[in-house]
Amino acid sequence: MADSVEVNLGKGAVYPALVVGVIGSVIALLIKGKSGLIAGGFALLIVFIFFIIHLIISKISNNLDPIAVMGLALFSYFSKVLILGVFLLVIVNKISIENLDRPSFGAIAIAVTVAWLGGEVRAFLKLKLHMPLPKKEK
Amino acid sequence: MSSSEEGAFWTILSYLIAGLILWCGIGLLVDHFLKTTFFVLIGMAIGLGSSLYLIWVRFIRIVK
Repeated sequence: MADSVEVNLGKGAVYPALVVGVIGSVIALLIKGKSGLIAGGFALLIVFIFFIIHLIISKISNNLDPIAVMGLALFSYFSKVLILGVFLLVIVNKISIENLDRPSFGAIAIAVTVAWLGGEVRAFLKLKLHMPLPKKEK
Repeated sequence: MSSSEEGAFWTILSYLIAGLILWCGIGLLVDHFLKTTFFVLIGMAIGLGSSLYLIWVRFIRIVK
């Protein structure tokens, strides 16, 4: 059985994002030491969780009404913003700068996000979607 | 966007905002009186859950 669109998009996005995240973490390790590596790991984890939630929502909403899709999309967007806010608050208040390098975290998170989106776009362009043709007019 | 879709958008947005404000507010109050810090997070989770429930009942369950 062929993979669904979401699985193909996920597969196309995971590899470039993983490569960029690992390279970024290694660079951060070399420049900032252990705190850079931990920041890279956190950044990779949070970006992956966010985009996987996005793919799950799009899989769930495959056969739903457009308004229901909008409801799920708004809900997932709200949840993501809130969870990210809580996550950043926890990082700022509970983890010291010596243990987690903030600039490395931000830079790697942005790089992984760009890589994931680029991979997703590339995977989407490769997809063979069956579009319904318009009916012939008599 | 038609007027019914626009209405649905604002309804969904108001469910989300109202649920969060109400339950986070209750969580903050409980935290204030019990001198704790985690009830606001529980309130946030309940707020999001109740908003999703309302969105599900109003817009998803009926059109499935």
